[in-house]
Amino acid sequence: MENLKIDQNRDESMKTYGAIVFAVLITVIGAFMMTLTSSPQWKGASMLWIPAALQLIAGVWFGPKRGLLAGGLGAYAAGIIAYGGWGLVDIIMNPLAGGIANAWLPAILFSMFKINPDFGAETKAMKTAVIRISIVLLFVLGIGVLPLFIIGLDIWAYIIAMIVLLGGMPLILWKVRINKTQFLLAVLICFVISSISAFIGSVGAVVAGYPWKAALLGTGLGWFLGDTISCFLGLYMLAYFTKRARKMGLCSL
Amino acid sequence: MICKIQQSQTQKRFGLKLLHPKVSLLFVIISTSLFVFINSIEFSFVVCIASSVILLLGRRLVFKKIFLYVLLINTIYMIVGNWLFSPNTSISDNDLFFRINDIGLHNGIIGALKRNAMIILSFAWLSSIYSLYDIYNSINVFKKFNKTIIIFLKWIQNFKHDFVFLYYSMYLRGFDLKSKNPRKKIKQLDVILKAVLNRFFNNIGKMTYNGESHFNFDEHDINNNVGTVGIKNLSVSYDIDGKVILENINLTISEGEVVFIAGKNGSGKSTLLKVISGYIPKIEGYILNGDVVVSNKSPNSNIQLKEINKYLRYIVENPVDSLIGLTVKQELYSQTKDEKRIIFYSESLDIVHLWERDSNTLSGGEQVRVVLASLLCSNVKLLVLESPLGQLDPVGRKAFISALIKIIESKKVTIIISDQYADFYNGIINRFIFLQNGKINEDISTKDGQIVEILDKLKLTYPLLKPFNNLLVSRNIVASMHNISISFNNNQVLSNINCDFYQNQCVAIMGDNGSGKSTLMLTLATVLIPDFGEVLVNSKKIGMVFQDCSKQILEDKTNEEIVLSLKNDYIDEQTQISFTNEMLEWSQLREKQSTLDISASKIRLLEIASNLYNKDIIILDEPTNYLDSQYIEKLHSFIQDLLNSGKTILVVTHDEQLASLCSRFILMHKSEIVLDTENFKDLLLKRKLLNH
Repeated sequence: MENLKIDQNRDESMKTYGAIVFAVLITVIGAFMMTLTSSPQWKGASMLWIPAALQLIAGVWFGPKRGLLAGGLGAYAAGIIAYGGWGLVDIIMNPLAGGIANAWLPAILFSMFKINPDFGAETKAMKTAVIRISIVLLFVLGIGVLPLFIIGLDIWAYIIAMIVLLGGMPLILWKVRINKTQFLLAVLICFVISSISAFIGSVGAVVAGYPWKAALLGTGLGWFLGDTISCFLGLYMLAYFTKRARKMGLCSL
Repeated sequence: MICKIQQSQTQKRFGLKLLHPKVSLLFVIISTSLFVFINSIEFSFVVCIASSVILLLGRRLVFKKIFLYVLLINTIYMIVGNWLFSPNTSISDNDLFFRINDIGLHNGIIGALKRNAMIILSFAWLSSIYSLYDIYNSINVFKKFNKTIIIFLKWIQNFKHDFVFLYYSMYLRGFDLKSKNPRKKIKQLDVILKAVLNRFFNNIGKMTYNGESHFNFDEHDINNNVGTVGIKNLSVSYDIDGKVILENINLTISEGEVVFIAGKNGSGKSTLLKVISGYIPKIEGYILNGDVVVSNKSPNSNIQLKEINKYLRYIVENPVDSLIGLTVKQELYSQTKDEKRIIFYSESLDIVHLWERDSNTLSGGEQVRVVLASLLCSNVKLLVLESPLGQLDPVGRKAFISALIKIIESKKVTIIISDQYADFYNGIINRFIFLQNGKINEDISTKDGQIVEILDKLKLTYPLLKPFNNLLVSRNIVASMHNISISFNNNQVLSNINCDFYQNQCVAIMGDNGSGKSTLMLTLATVLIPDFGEVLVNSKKIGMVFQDCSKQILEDKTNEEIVLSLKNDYIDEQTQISFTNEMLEWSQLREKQSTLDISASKIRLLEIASNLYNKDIIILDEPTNYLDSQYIEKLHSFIQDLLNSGKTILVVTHDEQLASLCSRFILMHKSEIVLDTENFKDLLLKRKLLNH
């Protein structure tokens, strides 16, 4: 209750400017990733879209509208800087997927399910959690890129990655004091938003001339995996930084 | 930057610059959007050539290296990638990887050409931008978002400025950015990331407050209580369960009063100003108890900052930080829509010729005139000033005071001031409040001339200090500057500087704002490389504390900040611990205290402590700024100790009392050294002549 009273006294426009600052951060990191991890067939980042973590945070902290602004504009500007992506396909893949699915939707869902974004976490415990999740992420990422080098592995790599991701959960949360119910609900939200984002990405691929099957299995699956992993990172960042953001007046959830 | 703007106005226009900024941006958006639909090699080749022609017509290319890297990576990815990975005939899930084929190569060439065309056109647009004001002109399509755009661009301008100082700070603290040691690289990267992110987020509060202080145009609801302050039983803290900074404050200020808030460092002056201005609790801190009503509005409620700031302006330590306009004209128009008022005050403060200038490039005196013109144009009824004279030279200070008198005479304004230089306000102030340990200790009505008596009584005057005793001055030259000249964007900043500095000498470097003092010191510290001439010095032996030393902070904990230079120099752990403890005790800071939450005076002490280990020459830029008499005495004895141990101290200052204690005096004027003497009176005389 104390926090609620304090938040009411911070100026609302802080969140607007916070969202603008996040848009810049997403632009910079996004442009870097899009340039360096651009896939052969596709413009934009392949493998891992780290800004999804920031898009998730922007939505949860600043609210749906401001999250949409930060996540959407940031991703769009990143595409423009990385490969001059101003067009229709780019609009579908960057501001629409990044803004609506990765930022706006988590804001709505977190609010709807009344999830406390810091999950009641203690800072020390979160440091341990961040280290553990980073190790799991690297491992999953390694598995995710294996199909590039091993012919025939294809979809199995993604399935293995998912098993590691889900199976690793108890290990990651081992002795970490957080509200596990709320955290698991947030994990579920990550899966939902990543799959919707991946679907919008696939629609972009279809608009660019690819058949549905190839778009869903080629673009969609990789997109889903990459975004899910990044969203996980976002969850840990939420747990770690939300208390500070509340103090600054950037988060009222 | 000044030159850049002038160039943009005077240079001939080429390429995309020929078009109106909005049309130019629209052209790029539409063209690159259409490129997506190209499907033949010939056509994609034509658009690539056309884009290159547009880029060449602009006769300017920014971020050349990034541009070339992006083109190269894109070309390799598209051609090689498609060639290797594209399916033979059509796309299927079984054929996604490793199929070298001609169709893939064909697609790759098209992709590479059209994507390169997009990149080239985007860079052509970027290269047609000369200043942030150009960007503003390109994207201010909807009036509704103008304010947000300006504030955002201002944030970029400030962040860029912070980033430059961050680089200087890293250099001075022994960062080896070209180190081949991966462990060292990771450690340095960790510090850099933390420092960048702290700057990135900490400016949000300032930016919000500044933005919400402008663009308040309505005047129709002015009532009798505008400009009044009522505080009852106020208790304030920066943390919900932290130290209480203000306790049980009761204060009423009526319309038209000019109140001076005095007190020693840490007494709560800044906090009280922040409460009155709404900065607390709207941006930071917490009102734990009590009521605050400013102009009939309570900041400790759901009311928006822009409502509180409708008739209130809070000018922070560095006046230029209170400006929001990218240009002077934009700043004035962000205060009122009344053009006659803008012209009248611009003429009376002689700033009409500065209208098109970038607000961050003004000299000290110009900054003051613009801030005051902006205040005069605004609806201000309550003016809160925090250390406005701190960064100004004597001429600037006089200009500020006379303009303040003009504000008092022309408007019925309530003014609340806190400043180190209380005696400058003699004759203006009609009430004096003395804070001690977060409580009001004295509340006195003042008359002309009485302020000096009060300062004496409360022991707030400048302390009596002995001249620095450096009888052991050797003739060993520790640093030499020969024929140094530097210019930024065709603007001469240092001109033909010749100077030697000796071991164990205390030198005062003085001069008006913009005369080149700080640039001279940054050049001596080898942070800046001169266009001509040479600096002979061991750069690792120079430490420097900037005027705005908060921009120097790299770590987020006090002990980590102090020990950073020692770590970079691979000093043994035992020495690190003992030095850190000694410096923490000297600066009266706690171990592991957050560097984000300490006062301006403590930041100065922290940075002095963090920048002197193992240095032979120590440069202190305005070291007495924000320090009270007790801290100035502390600093004085510290400098004396350093001199006793054979160090050379260079003090850049407007503080004549501190300067008079040195043994050598250098006067700078318009980028040149005009006097180098051992007699302080000579310097004062010369300065007076120059100012006439």
